Parts: sequence; structure tokens; C-alpha cells
Amino acid sequence: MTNYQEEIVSALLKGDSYVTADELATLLHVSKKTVYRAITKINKSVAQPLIESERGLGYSLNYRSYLDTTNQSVKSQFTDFSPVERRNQVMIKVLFNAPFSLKLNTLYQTYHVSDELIRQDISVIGQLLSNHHLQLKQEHGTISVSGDEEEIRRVINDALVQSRAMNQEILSDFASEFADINVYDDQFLTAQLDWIQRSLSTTIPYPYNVNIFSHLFILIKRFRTGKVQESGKIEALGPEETAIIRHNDRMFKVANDVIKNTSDYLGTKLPEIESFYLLQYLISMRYDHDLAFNGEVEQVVLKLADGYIDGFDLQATNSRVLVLRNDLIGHLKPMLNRLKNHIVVVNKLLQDIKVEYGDLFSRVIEISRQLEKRLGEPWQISDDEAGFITLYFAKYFEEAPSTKKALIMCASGVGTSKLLNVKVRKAFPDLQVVAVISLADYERHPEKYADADLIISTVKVKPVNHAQLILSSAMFTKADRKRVEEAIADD
Amino acid sequence: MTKTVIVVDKPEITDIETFMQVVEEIALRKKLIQAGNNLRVDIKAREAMGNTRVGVDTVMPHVKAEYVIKPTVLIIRVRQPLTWQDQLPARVFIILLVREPDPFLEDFIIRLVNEDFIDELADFNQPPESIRQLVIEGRK
Repeated sequence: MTNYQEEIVSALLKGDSYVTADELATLLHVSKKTVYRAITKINKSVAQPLIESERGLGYSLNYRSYLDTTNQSVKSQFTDFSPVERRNQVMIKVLFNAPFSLKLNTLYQTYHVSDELIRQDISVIGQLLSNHHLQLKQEHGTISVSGDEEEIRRVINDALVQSRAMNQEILSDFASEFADINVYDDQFLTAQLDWIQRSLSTTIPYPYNVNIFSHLFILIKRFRTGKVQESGKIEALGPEETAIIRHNDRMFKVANDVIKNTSDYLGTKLPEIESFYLLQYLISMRYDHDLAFNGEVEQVVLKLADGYIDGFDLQATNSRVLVLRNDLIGHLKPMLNRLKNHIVVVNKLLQDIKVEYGDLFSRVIEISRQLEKRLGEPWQISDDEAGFITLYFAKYFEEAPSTKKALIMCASGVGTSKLLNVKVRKAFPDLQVVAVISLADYERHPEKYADADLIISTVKVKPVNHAQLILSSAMFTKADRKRVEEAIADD
Repeated sequence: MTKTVIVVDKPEITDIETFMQVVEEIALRKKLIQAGNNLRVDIKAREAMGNTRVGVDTVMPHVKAEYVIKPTVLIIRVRQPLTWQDQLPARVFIILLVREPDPFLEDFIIRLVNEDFIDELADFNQPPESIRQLVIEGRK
């Protein structure tokens, strides 16, 4: 484990209840994102999750798993592959080799499993492939796959997603997930990524960098170890494809350059359709600027953006909502390209988003289902994509200035309340403090303070209206701050 | 705006009752409050409503009453921590005597937001007169 990971486990071990990502981030002096990443890595490194998350509460240590892990840290390095991992690895190998056949003995020699298990594996793999209209053929102790090239690559991509290789944010980490990616391939692919970024004067962020890298990696491996069947589609681009190319001519030129480089690298002339496939990835990324827009936004993108905004009952006339709408359009436009082209991006923060923003995420899913139905499009917004959308709304709501009104109170109105007032204003600059008063003032004229939502007081008081009482120490400790924070967030 | 600030070290005090007596004696002797007051009862009553702890071993008992003659910051420091009404130890007692809102007192209270200031008040290496000057000086 790295230092961060050890510190997280140690913090959870010391805490007797849940610890939030925020608290861990403060403790470690790192961002919340780093905390999420570290926790994912910790859980991935052991047989059963060490750290559990509970919606609305935070993280806690699974003590039993912790004891098991610490007792068996040496043993855990030799954990067997799970059946899913094994099937995935076998399937990826067979798909890369398609349509050539591979010997079952060779495929399974590292797994040490019985013939019966192999038989079951093949049956499951066959079923999975047939869902994608791919045929698995088994004869004389060998297996092979045949079918449409796009489908073959799509299934490889899905299997890589499932193997969590795509959770690696940095290209070199992603490349290291594959035993058979050599240093030359790694360098070549990284150089192509650099070339695309330079040509488009942009930076390709995670997860899009990993997506393009993996697309090109699959492409290289398909041409190197398998045989790519040239279907009719490859010969002639349809009018729709031609229109997309015309509309994105600058990106198509970049895609063409990269495919030409790849042809040279492989020593094989790649078909023209490969440039179009790569173009699909390039137009499916979120860019920092207007590169992908060409100044136009499709009606369906606008309908989606407005659908989400309406779904959250936000007024499109508000200036903050307008900023949110623009951000959403910027995200939804490439998202639609991904959905249309079956490009899967992994949202490695998905689990954490579900924990941290559970209600928002559920609402995004609900709105997404309604919009899919209303727009009658063939695609479906995946949980990963819904997770990205959730983050836009989380940012919007978290940055919203508080509309809550607070009263600060003590017995005399001149003692601890004065101190508390300064501390509260410092900690919650957006909170509207309507008055600093004595308990007697409040009890004498409660009607004057009827609009207060919170009473932060060092003395006990019975609120006369809907106000929530937060009894606080004059020290305004961390626990006091947390209660105020929760009251502000509480709708 | 008044600036009555009194700081005394009372290492001999080891219990709350003696402490309360000393507070009342000082307040009467310095003519900070009128005779026939309820100072001790009022301080206890205020604490009973909610504690006035402002630092780890620092509390700020206070009264706002008509019998207060001079608005005052009275700081009493004891060597041996006393168990205060919130059942936690206290060694530094910042007693505020208030008649009506007073800008100096208010300014002083706001300075207590700074934990370093509270630590300075509790620093027994600094004699009472230095502490008094520190309080009177106000915000620099």
C-alpha cells in the first residue's frame, strides 16, 4: 500500500464510526478525488473489500476483512483469478485472434482448471458473443470467433472495461495492465495521443485518453494477431458517414494522419474505414473549448440539457442555471456521439458518486429514462454516463449560495453569542445571519424572528416557528460546524 | 467606552466555592458591582443554561445586570485546574461584568476567536500586568 492508502486505513481503524471523504481529504491534505482513487485501489488490492461505503454516512473499515488481509498479506498476492476474470481473459485472447483458432490447452494452461470448468466457460463465452451476433466455433480442441469486425472490437472493449483496466487514469498505468503490450507499442500509442493533442491544440483528459489509447491498441492487436475481415461497409462509406466527415474535416484529417502512422508502424495498409472509426472517438470526447461544436448544437442535445434542467425544477432564466446549461451542452454533445457509436467510457468514480450524491444520481437516472422515452432514440444512458451528468448538478447545488437565515443566540446577547457570531460567519460566509440576540429578546418578540431557519445558540431555547435549533459550544468545535453544515444542506 | 480590566493570579484557590467568593470580593472591593447583588447566583444560572467555555481550559462566565457599576473584564487564573460547571477543568476564568452592550467588551470577545490570544491569556509565564496590557491594547 502507498502512504495515502495506509493513512486512510489507519484513519478508519481509529475512527469508531463513519468517516466522510471530506474528512479523509482534510486529514491527508489531498483532494477528495485522490481519496476516492486510493480507496478504489485499496479495495482492488484485496480479495474482499476492506473499506465499505454507506450512502450519506461515509466510509468505514470492514474489520473482519482487515484482520483477514493483515494476517494473509503474503498469501493474497497469489489470489486465484475469479471465474469472470478468467473468462474475460480467455475471451479477449480469442477475439484478438479472430477468425483464427486457438488451442484450448494453450489458452487454459495458466489457470489449472478442470475440463468441466473449461466446458462451462466456453458455453458462457459463446452465449455472450452470440448476443453480439458473433459466432464461437469449437472443434478439435480449438476455438475461434467469427463475425463483424466492429462487434469484435466492441466486445473486446467491453471486456477491457469489465477488467477495470480502464480505471487507470495514466496511460502508462493503463498500458501496464496488459502483459502483452510491449514497450514499442506503448511508445507508439503514446506518441499518437500526443500527436492528436498537438494537432487539435487541446489536452485529452481521462477517461478519453485511455479510450483512444485502448481503441488504437485493439486496432493494432487485431491486425497483428488476427485477421480483419473486410466487410462491404469498409469499401464504401454511406451518406451519413460522409456527412459526419465533412462536418468534422479538421478532426478527420488528424484521424487520417494517425491511421497512416499506424499503417506504417504495422507495415500493413489499413482500410479507410479505420480513419472513420477513430473520428468517432475524436468527436466523442469532451474538449476544453468549442472544438467539437463547430458552432452548432443539435436539437436533441438542447432537448436533453433542458430536460435535465426541467427535471431538477431549475429556472432556465437564472444566470447560474444558464452557466450550468452551457456546461451540460458541452458534455452532452460528445456524450451523444458516444452513445450513437457505442463508445463506452468508464466512470471510475461511479461508486463514490452513488455514495456521495445518491439522491442526485437517482434523480438523473429517473430523468434519463423519461428523456429516452420522450425522444424515442435507440440509445440508453448508462450509469457511468449518468454519473458524469450527476457531477454537473452536484457542482451546481454545492456552489449555490445558502438561502437559509440564522439567528445567533446566547443568554445575554452580549457574551458567547458575539464570539459564536464571528466563528459562524467565518465558517459559513454565505449563511445569512439575521440577528445576534439574547434568549430574553427572542422570547419577548418571537414574531420578529419568524423567518429564521436556524437558531445557533449556546443556550437551550424552544423555537417558536419552523426553525431548527443547533445548540453549540462557544468554541464552535468541528462537531458544531458539522451540524450547522448539515442543517444548511438539509432541505 | 470603558476599559476596566483586572487580571489576578490566584494559585491558592483549589475549589469553586472559594473561587466564587473571590470573584465577588474583588468586584465589591473595586466597586464594579453594587452591594446586595446576585452575582454568584447569576453566574451559576447562566452556566446552567449552557456552558461558556471558549478554550480547552478557559471559560467565560458572565452576567448582564443592573447591579453592574463598571463594565469589566476580570481575569482570574488559578494554578490547579478547577472542575467547572460543565464538569471539565478550567484554569483561566474570563469574567465579564456587563450592564449594557459595550464596544470594548464586544471587541475583546471577538478577539477570543483567535486561539493564540486565548493561549496568551493562559500563559502563566506572563505576569498579570502584561496580560492586562494585552487586553487593554485591543486589536493591533
